[in-house]
Amino acid sequence: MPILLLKKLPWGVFCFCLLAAFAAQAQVRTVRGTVRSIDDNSPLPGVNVLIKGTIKGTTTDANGAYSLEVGSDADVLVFSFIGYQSEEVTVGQQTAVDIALTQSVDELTEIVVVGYSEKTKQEITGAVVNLSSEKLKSVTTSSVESLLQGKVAGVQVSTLSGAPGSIPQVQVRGASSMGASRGALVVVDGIVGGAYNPNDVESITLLKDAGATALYGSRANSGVLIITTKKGISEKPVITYKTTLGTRRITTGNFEMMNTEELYETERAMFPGSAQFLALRPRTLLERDYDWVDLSYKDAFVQNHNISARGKSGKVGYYLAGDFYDEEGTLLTTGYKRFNFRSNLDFELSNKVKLTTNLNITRDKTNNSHWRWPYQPFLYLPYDSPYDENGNIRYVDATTPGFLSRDKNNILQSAQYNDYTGKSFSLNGDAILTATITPWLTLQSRNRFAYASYRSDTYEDVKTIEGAAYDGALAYDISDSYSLISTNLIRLQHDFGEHHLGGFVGFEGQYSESENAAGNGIGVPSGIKVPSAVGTPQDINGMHSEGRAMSYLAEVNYDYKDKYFLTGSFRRDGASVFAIDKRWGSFGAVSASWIISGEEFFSGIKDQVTFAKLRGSYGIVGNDNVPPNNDVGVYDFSYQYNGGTAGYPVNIPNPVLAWEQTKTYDVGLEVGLFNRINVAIDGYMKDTDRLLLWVQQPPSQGIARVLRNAGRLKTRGIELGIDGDMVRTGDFRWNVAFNIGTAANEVKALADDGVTQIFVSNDGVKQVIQVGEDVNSWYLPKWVGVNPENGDPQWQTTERDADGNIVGYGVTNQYDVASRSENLQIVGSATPKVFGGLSTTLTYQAFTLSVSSSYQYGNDVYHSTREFVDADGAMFNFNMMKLDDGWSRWRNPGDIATHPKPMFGGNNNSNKASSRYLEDGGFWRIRNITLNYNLPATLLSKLKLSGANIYVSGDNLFTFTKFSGLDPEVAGYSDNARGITAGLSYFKYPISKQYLVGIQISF
Amino acid sequence: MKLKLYFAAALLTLSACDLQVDPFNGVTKDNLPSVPNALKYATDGAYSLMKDQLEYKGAFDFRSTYARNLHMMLEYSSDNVTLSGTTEDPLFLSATRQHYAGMENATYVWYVAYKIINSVNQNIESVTEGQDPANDYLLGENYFLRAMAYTDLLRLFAKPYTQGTGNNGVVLRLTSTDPAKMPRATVGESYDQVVADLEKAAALMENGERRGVEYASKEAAWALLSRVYLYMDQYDKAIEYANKTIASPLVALTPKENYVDMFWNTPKYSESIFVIKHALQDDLGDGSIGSMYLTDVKGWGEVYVSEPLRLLLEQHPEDVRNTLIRPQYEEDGVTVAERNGIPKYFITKFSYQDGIVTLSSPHVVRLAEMYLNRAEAYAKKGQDQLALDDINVIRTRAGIAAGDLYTLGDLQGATSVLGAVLQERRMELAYEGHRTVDLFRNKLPMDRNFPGVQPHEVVNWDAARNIYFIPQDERLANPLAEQND
Repeated sequence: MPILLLKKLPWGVFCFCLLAAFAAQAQVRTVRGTVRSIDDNSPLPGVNVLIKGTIKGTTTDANGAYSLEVGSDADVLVFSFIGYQSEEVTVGQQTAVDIALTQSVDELTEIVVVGYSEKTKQEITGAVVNLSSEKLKSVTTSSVESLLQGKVAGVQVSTLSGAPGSIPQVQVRGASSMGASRGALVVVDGIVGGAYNPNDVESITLLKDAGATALYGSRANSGVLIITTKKGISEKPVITYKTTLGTRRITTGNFEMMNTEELYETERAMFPGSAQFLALRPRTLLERDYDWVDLSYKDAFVQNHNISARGKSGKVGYYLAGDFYDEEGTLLTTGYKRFNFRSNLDFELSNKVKLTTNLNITRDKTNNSHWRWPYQPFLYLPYDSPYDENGNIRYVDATTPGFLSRDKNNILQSAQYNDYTGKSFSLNGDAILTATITPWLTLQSRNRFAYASYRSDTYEDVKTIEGAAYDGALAYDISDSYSLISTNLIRLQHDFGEHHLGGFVGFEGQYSESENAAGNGIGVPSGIKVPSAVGTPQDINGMHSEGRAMSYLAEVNYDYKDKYFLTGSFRRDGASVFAIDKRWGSFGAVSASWIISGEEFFSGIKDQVTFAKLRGSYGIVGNDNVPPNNDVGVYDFSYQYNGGTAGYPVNIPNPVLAWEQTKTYDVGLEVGLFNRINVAIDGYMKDTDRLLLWVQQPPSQGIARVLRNAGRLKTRGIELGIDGDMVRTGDFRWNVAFNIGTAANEVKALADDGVTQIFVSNDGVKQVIQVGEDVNSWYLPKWVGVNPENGDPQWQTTERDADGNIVGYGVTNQYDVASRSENLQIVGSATPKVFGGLSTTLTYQAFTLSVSSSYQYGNDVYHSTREFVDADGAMFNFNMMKLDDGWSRWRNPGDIATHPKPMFGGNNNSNKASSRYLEDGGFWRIRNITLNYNLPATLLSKLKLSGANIYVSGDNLFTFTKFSGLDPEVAGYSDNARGITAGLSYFKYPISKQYLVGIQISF
Repeated sequence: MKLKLYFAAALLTLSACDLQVDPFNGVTKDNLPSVPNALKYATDGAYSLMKDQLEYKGAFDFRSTYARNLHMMLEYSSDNVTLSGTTEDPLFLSATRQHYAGMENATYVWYVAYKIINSVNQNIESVTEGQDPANDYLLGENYFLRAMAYTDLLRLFAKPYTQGTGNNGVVLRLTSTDPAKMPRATVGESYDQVVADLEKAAALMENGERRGVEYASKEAAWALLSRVYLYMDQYDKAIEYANKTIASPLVALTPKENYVDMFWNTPKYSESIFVIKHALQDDLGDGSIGSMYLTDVKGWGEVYVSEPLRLLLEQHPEDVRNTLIRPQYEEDGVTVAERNGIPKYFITKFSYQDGIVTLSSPHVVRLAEMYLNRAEAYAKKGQDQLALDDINVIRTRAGIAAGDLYTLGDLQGATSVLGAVLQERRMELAYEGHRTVDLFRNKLPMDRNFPGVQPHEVVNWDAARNIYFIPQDERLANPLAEQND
């Protein structure tokens, strides 16, 4: 009998359990065999071969062969492989076990990591979508999030910036919070948070309903993104080298700036007589034409090299990978470079104890830009030259003769000398110990230590406009943070005949600490970019913060005859951000599923409907994504006056601040047809109450907002995903995947003490939160077009009765009237009515052509850029955008025009916030087109390679939209902490079209 | 079983962990009294609000500070300066008087004024008066700051006192626990509160030692009382407090030789009674007040001296106040450069502190104003010679020869003694936010027919847009506060 000996348990301050153990073994012998496909008898590499009830196993090599040590004749081998039905064989006296596996399109037996557990797809009772690395490959990007675009029903991925290294927003199933919004929770290798490189990802699992997410309790209200990195499972080592090279060029959609001739003619119309115009704009300007966007945004090079080794040597499985990603920015000197190293090691300490250590180290460097650089190329006048007489890039300031643009500088010149860099280093070390004490009892401890440091440096040279007035300026900010998280689980499982019962109980603790120190100074000799060179120090500052969280969690799974499944989960979380007696919240879910196709009565249509599952769930998750100490009145002392410490009250305390909680209901049906088409339909409803809201106060209280549990929000939607092979013949296969989702929300209640409206704001652009309306409702003066008589802008006014109800409408050409509070109206919503994706894959012999796209429809985007570049003369000295299709400018009485009469200095504030700039935000974007070629096996064996493929791909090649701005893809949810408003389009670092060629070789 | 014990132990260890996390960057209001010097830090916090760029509802506007917006909203709508082009900055709306309720500069200054008021209210609530002289002195500074903030709000958002005390004034918040929704007090009630606060401030600071011109003092309280009483047409009180201020041994007019440097380095001069200190680390660069007035390597340099004021000053080229104006010349060194056809006469009143072009610590109040306040009060009381004596002090300091001083027989172009006082006040206090208030409270029109992007018009003293709309955000969350016409 194996005896578990506990050798040593170092016990850290934060309960880090590190276990080591070994076990004695008996009766060891080796079983060998080959695994083939039953269809064509071809060998199957990579099949999992496991001894049932243990974690001991191996995988088949390139020839389908395996060998495995077994302990006794009674051991049962389990053969499992993606896309094939699992088989079980009792070893008995055999020394060779050969087997042929049957293909299964429903992949029911594939193991899916669903957070704290691993389950087969059959066992899953919640709304869970799994994407294997197959479905994710072919896009070279710095983030996994962008791989998800358009791939999963109900998931919206929004690229907010095209800056190198930026990460998109991921939102699952629409809004469920307002003042505490967040994206999907990322869980890497079973532990909340973490870092990873996209090339190291084996699979991604998205948890959508509470049935699946409730175990993540407090952070799961926007879904959970579970990322599993690769492991070594094959006895044969596989070394893979992958390299990708390509170029990027910005795409600005329908947004185009004027050239000299167009701008000159447009500006001429702003003046009643030509004398004043010619005084400001002499005809000689027509001799110059500079396209600043083209001069500032260049084609950029991107490259990615990755080498990995994975395999298994005796009792140690390994995956080691090194990665170098280098993306030049399209804008001036911007760029992003990243080195990543990952080591995933699995040790079989005994046949009952397994230790996994994962290490991920990332070092990256970002060359950022001055905040003016991304937008200024769009605003410079084409009359102005960035060059001197000799054709060299010149210095520009307000005294530069003849430089007419509003902003008197030359970013091309500044970029030559100034640095805005960020460097980060992060280290994540995981230790996961699993001990199978008995077949029914397993203990598991999952621990992670994460460390991150970040340093940003700003250097502004004396030769540039930014540095000149200070004889050079320099600033730096160094931060350092670490966190510890430990999850400890006791797992139980037992079969009672056809009743299977399992589950776990556990606890989780988390601690994090971060601090920073920053300084800046002036008087820096040109080119000497170190703080010591500072002549006059200006300021030093720094912060410190800590966070703690604690949770208890449990899950119970039950099934009967592999047909009826029931799961219950529970989690209790403590969070320090809430009032002292409100800190603990209990969350949980129940979910059930019924494999209808497993029933007798189904056997008649088994050939047509190969699989059918009905599932349902109900659960509650919480949300604590708010800053600490809002339950007490706080004086913040991090300010300064006349060189001395200064502080003032920063909040109105809310002594009853409590958890926001979301109840989620979900019903889903999964159907497999003709063994080649999978359909999943889900209907869900999320009901969030005690909504955490930054309730707008009258500014005369001196505190702009108070954090309160002030409302209730309902979101409901339907999701449909269809994925199937339209054609499947010998060497031709055509697969189509389509998904569509809705996520309509409605504010059901707001706090009853008279607070009925709460606002977010961005430069006067407002959204309202009002009972009965969408949370992202635009609340603006309503534009009613141009007066044909005189070209005046016109807005709607309202007539209201004593109760404030609108009883009639009028028209005004005065913006001060239009923008009075009684004339603001809900004029649209930033929430799309539907969104989803469509992708297709054509495979012919060794060639694969795949196209993926995403779309959304029915949302209104506020195009705030137009306040500056489509301003009817109010922003003279900025360049202007070309009129879009169907737009026209008023010129003569009687003209029916979209744009008011242009006037120098503006036409009655026509460019101020109103529904004039609210546009249809619908779009359909072809995200990626890839053509891949797999080298034939004959060639591979000659080259002694186990695999090789080459591919070319293009990203963001086409976008179909009516939106007039840079990009219809804008933030899906507001993020107060980052000053992001949902549905607002402003100047941004434009996204790029990207063309890549890549090769991958394995040997 | 050993393993289970370890798990149990781990469980206990975790349970013992405390979820309490105290603020790392400050203290809770309850703990404030236990922190040494807390009232000093908290008082300095109220000062810091005037110069910092603050977040409003999660968004930063890298233009707005209290000092800057207050300055621009008062001065750019006057006839002292001219804006030479369009701009996306809402200062454009101030210069052109195209106001609307959602204007960001107005919302910001309103919000921060009340942030100062809220800080003061909480500071007053956190200590008991009469127990510690040092605390009492700091309380005096707090009362001063509240009065100053209300005075600023009254100048921007309420009609002058002289146009009726029943008009809408400010939302008077005197405790931090006031209800969110409150109506506006009348102008009369608002001014009464300002006077009460200032008199209390002066009394509390009566015996303490001034911390410097960067802080409030009894002199600052008296000086502001002189101004406020003048606004209220209470001439004797205005004279009384001007007298008290002038008599203080801590203040003196700066000699002509240092006149320009007095504005560049305000904290160094005893003419300064109270300045908003901007230390080196507070340099706002392009977001500073001086940036709009001057380009010297740095700075937008888009707002210039208006033609009428420039011509007025040029009547006496020897007038030191001309040296604050710096024309930018074309390459020939003679022709004044133009922007959009408007000559670039830069103003350097808000520049060059410690040699940094965009750094300055603007005056809230300085001694010269006391002579001008007193002169105006005398003039209105009919004591014409006393009035002229006071403005001649200012004129003499500016370097104007004795022969060119005001006499009852020669008002230097003015048509009345009051006119002479206001003319001198205009020149001396130019670009300090006084001009519009001084005209409209005296029911005088303002002629804006001079080169610039503003509408060329004569503005009546009772025009609705002489004051700003109260912010849309206030009306939305506090409908009890009535909007201006």
